[in-house]
Amino acid sequence: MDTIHLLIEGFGSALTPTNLLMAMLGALIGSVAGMIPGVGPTPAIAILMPLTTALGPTQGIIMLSGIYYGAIYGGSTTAILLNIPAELQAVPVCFDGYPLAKKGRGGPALGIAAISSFVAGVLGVIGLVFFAPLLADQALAFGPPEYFALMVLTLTVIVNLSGNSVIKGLIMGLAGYLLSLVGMGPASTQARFTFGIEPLTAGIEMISVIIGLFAIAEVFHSFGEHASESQVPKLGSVYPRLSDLRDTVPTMLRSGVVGFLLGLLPGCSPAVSAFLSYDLEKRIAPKPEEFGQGALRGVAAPEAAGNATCSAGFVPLFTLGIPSSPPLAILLAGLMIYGLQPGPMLFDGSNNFVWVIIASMFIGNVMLVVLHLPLVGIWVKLTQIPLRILKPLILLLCVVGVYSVRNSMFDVLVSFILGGVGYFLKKGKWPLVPFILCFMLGPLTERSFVQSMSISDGSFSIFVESPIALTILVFAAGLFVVSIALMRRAHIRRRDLQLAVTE
Amino acid sequence: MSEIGASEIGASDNGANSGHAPVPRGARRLGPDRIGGLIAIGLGLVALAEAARLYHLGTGMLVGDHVMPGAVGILLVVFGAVLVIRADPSALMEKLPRGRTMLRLCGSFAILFVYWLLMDRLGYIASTFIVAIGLFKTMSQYGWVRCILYAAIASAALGYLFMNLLNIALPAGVISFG
Repeated sequence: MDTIHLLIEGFGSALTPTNLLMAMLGALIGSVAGMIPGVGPTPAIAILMPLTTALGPTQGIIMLSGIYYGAIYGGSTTAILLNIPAELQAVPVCFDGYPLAKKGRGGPALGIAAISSFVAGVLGVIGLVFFAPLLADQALAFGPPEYFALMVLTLTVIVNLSGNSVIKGLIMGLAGYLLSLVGMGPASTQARFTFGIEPLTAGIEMISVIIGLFAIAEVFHSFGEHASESQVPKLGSVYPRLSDLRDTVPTMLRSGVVGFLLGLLPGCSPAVSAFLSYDLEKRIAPKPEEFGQGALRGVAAPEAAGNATCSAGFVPLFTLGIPSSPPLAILLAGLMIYGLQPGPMLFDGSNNFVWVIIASMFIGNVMLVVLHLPLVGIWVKLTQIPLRILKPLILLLCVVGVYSVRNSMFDVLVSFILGGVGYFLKKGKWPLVPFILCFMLGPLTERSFVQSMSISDGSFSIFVESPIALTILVFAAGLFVVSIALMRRAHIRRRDLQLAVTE
Repeated sequence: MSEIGASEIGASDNGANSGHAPVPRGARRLGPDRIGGLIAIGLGLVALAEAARLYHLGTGMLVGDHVMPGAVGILLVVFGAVLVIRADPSALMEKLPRGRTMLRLCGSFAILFVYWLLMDRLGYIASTFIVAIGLFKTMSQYGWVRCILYAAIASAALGYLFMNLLNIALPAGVISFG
């Protein structure tokens, strides 16, 4: 009952004009960012996060969450109409969405994507309401050894965020960790890795790293590309027929539940659940040969599963501080910048922060459907904005974003240098997300390890003697193995599906 | 700016078709992964050196500020060595731009550093105006008149938005909206 009561209070706060405006602005900005070919949710959140610091934590996170699911939602538009997926999870949406668009049924495909996204979003929010407090209650018993074990569990996420090479992901994670060690150590007052450069004693600012690697590097990575000149096929009516809905609603519900349950596992990315759900629907479909040729169920399944996983990702994010996808890793940084440490304290009864965010997510999902379906023509036009105008403006925004956090030109310089480094890393196909994840979690990992070692007088037995820490470490080992198996399976399925589509 | 693009759906591994190219001539023997592995080993050695410097400040082998730099250093050296040994020297990396595109890319990057130098001296609006002209010229390749016009609009709009509406403390310098 407490949960329901807190949720009602959350709705009360979320429905204030300011919070409603932030949810709407976030959803709109996110949709625009997701629809412009070549932007997508991760850079969108990275670029805009510093600017939301002008707002309070609640309004800022409401807006960032809105940008997140708005961009995910918007990304499906380019996947269906232009065959350009903004994120990996939108790839299976292309398989059937684009053939539908080429047949002149882009409108119904967009409509089904919107409804699937809404259904999954609502399922996800309902799940979040019931699962998150349960997990947060368990986290109340955590001390330094448990937190260290949790950090180890979080690092298993790297496997899923490493792209094609786990070893490169691990090296990037360690490099990020190394960068987080710059500055004063937790046990002494001795500066580390400063090499006599005075501003480094305060450490490297998180936003400089995020903007450098995710925004500046991205702008230069796509240098010379002008992707927005693609032609949009004829849309048709955006409202699906009743028979289309009858055909796809069970798929939406099934994929939504599968996506949500997969999303509860730390490290399961929306891309994995989107591919697995597409595969599942194809297997149980009465006419599997229609998949890849323009089946609406082929749009509904990955869209619902991916979005439900996105919503479910907020459960480990809010309760344990474990992000399961790149945009959530940036959102975690957002929480930290606002001074909010994810964990049980966020669910403290005296603080309705989380409940306002959850209520806003529900409202944001409603807004997305209401805004998108009738205005689809305007959204389609947005996919045609020339990137050559946007790129210089994005760079100018990046500078303000970095500078505004500490009023430091040194931070701006760091972001430029990391932008250059990130450019070459992207060219060499080195995954950037493990770097940022370990950079963010590095200080907490080190602090919990140093405290655990101080308590146990340097003995590792402290991690085995604590039942919670031991359970988490065993779970981390199991998850590591399962993640590799899932990644291989998704990789094989993706390859098979791509081959099938090509044929 | 997406992680993947349409061209990657169903794209073959053929470098010429998928926007990839063999590694630059000087690095061909090593390959991009092997170079990365060597850099990881280098970073690991730096971390180990720092751990050794801090060791005497700790209160035990596993207690102190040296522990994490040491652990990270060892793992970087190990994983770097694994990558160097197991890397495929013929691995492909994305094609780097050439000729005028490369010049424009370097120019845009240099302009960012000019921005860093100018902002404290000239203030946000004036430096943004100058830098925006350069960026619109190098990145967007518009004519000078259009570059100046867009730069004026962008610097005035951004300055007003951040300094006046959002009250973000940016260097005022020679031009401000009072």
